[in-house]
Amino acid sequence: MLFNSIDFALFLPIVFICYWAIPNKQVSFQNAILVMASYLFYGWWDWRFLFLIGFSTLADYSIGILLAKQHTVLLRKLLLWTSICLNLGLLGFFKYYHFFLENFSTAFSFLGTKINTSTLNIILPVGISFYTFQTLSYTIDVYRKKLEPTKNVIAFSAFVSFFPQLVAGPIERATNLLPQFHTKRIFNYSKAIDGLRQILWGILKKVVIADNCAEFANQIFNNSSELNASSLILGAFFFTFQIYGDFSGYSDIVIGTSRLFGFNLMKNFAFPYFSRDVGEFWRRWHISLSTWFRDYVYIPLGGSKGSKLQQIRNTFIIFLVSGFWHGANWTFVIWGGLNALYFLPLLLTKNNRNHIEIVAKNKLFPNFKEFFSILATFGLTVFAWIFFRAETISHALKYISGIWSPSLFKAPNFNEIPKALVLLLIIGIFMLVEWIGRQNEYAIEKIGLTWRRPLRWSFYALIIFVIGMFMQTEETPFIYFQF
Amino acid sequence: MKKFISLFFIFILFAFFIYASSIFLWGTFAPTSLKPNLNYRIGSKGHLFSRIQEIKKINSVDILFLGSSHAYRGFDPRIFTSHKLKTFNLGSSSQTPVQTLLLLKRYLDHIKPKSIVYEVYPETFMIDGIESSLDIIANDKNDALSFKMAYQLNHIKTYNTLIYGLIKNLLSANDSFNEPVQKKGDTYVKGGFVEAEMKYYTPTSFPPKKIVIDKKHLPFFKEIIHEIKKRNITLTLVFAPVSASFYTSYTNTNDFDHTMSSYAPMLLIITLTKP
Repeated sequence: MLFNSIDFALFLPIVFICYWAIPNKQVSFQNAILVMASYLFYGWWDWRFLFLIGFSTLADYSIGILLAKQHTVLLRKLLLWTSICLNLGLLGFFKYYHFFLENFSTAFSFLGTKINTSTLNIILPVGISFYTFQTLSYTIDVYRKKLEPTKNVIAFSAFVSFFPQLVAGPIERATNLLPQFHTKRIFNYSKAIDGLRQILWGILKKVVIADNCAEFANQIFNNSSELNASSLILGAFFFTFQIYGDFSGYSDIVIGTSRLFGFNLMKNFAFPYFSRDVGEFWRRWHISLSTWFRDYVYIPLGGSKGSKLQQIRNTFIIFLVSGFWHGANWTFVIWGGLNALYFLPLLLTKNNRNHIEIVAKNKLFPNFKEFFSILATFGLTVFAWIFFRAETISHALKYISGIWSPSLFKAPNFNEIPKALVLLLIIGIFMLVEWIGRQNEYAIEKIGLTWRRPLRWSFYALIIFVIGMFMQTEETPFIYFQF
Repeated sequence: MKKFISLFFIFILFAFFIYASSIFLWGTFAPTSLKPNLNYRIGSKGHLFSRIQEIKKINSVDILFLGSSHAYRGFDPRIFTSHKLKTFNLGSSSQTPVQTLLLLKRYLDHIKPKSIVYEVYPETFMIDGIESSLDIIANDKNDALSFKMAYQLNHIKTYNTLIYGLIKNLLSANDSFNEPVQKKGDTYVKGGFVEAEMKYYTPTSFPPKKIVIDKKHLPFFKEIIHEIKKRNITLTLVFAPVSASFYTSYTNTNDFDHTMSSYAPMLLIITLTKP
């Protein structure tokens, strides 16, 4: 079930009413409704996926209970590694089986040995990368004694399968989300209204920005060998906004929906395209994944402590693994590696935490230095996205070599240029609103809050109008659903 | 909670009012490039406006033609008149079964045909029907059937254009509109026919193409057959004349004919084309 579908538009109000209609707001019943709704939501894609998430839930639930009972270090480690192997084993099998098989086969063929590879027809279960990491965070935190294991299997199932964030995150920490399933949830009017506002902004990002950019990004990337350099630059630019609108829009819808049910999820995006360096960019882009890798991989490896060599090693590990997490393709690994290269100079010169606050805080405009830093960081990011979007590494390299040609100074030659110009105008207005609201949780969080109700409602209605007038008419799945 | 739900519904009403007003203002004043999801073209190609005005004045015919532009450009009423048959052509551009059904429900009992010739062009079973819905919204009246059609197509362009059309109808903004008889090489001929300016045919080759019927059209097609049969009207399905090279580019015309026959087994499917 896609968030931008009619099915979901019917599903959400039904679940919402059932959830809040429970007498005395009994947590156990509310959790049971959320589990049923989440399984229905997930089974909508393919009912067979339910066995997998059910197995993963029961396995980590049991391991959590056993971890609490065991005090021997060896046995506790054994339990932890059982959870890690189970979760990563499932992820590896469903997501990376073909990738490893093909690469082993290619590697052996170089050595003159031909391997017979029988391929299986494996369907990648939607959201497996996300809920696997979420359940892993639970067992690791229980192992580290940061969290008491839950004895309530329904609450734990609700935590693993919570439908708003099941298929593409944010990857919640058990320490943040799980206690919320044990706490009484009372309907909060302001929170619900805020949730609706965030959903509205998320929908605009998805169906107006991302889906319209996708039309041109797809056209240009799929025909890159026939297009001139200026078109290729625009293709990368459109993809840059496609992926931002798509994933941050999705995150806004998820966080807003969760607020309707009384939950507070972690922030996943914080205006990353206004970052002044790549370090800041990674503190603002897909925050739940970056911090997951930081807490469970980077810091255990030693983080930024130790020798320069260790720091370089740790940085590369974290970015390469992060890239590989996105998909079974070398393009994602290169994308991760490229970001590591961008980040290393900052780390080695200890400049990686220079920009913690949002740019030009409490000011209308950035200064020249900030402005050019933002432009440079944006340029590096656009360049890296080419690898992320390309089908293969050779496709990415040809795309990049196509950019360095004299046609860079010619007019673009892809189809429907007037429509693309309108889209550029829309992106410009969108980024202006994002700039105005950059100090908030999401861009329109505080716009119009002090206005009189008719004016404020007119503002929201106009956003609905912009969505209706400019939305892409093809129903497009969210990019991160495939990860 | 009660406050939330009641204010939410009030907001929906308020937002709809603002949305509809914005659609009308934007549709009236914004340039075409800035309204991608609104396409209201009264008097558009195909003379549907004139056809609808004319059908309202006709009480009965011998033959009613239905279908795509192949129908309104293919069946010349003057030829049938010379054989003492009164005909009317209710074809419209890219008319899919959803629109055919709407037009039948609106005009079948009014025009009372003895026989119907329904041109089943494969493409109209493969496309989404949005463009044809916009044509009908702009050039015919808008009533409950228009809402039903919009719901069936469930496309933002159809919804927006319908809202715009309804406001125009409400303001009687189209009352003074007159469609010229001649437009860009097309001449409207009484009886719903559109005569195209004669051009020399340049033989063209077409890549092989398979007819893949979009299954969402079939329930509407079935209902069309049912509506016609229950009135005891003779129905003939035809594959309209097209060039031989175009016809033979379809790789599975037999399958298509077979499918059509399965929905109307007693009917004769004829091909006017000689491949």
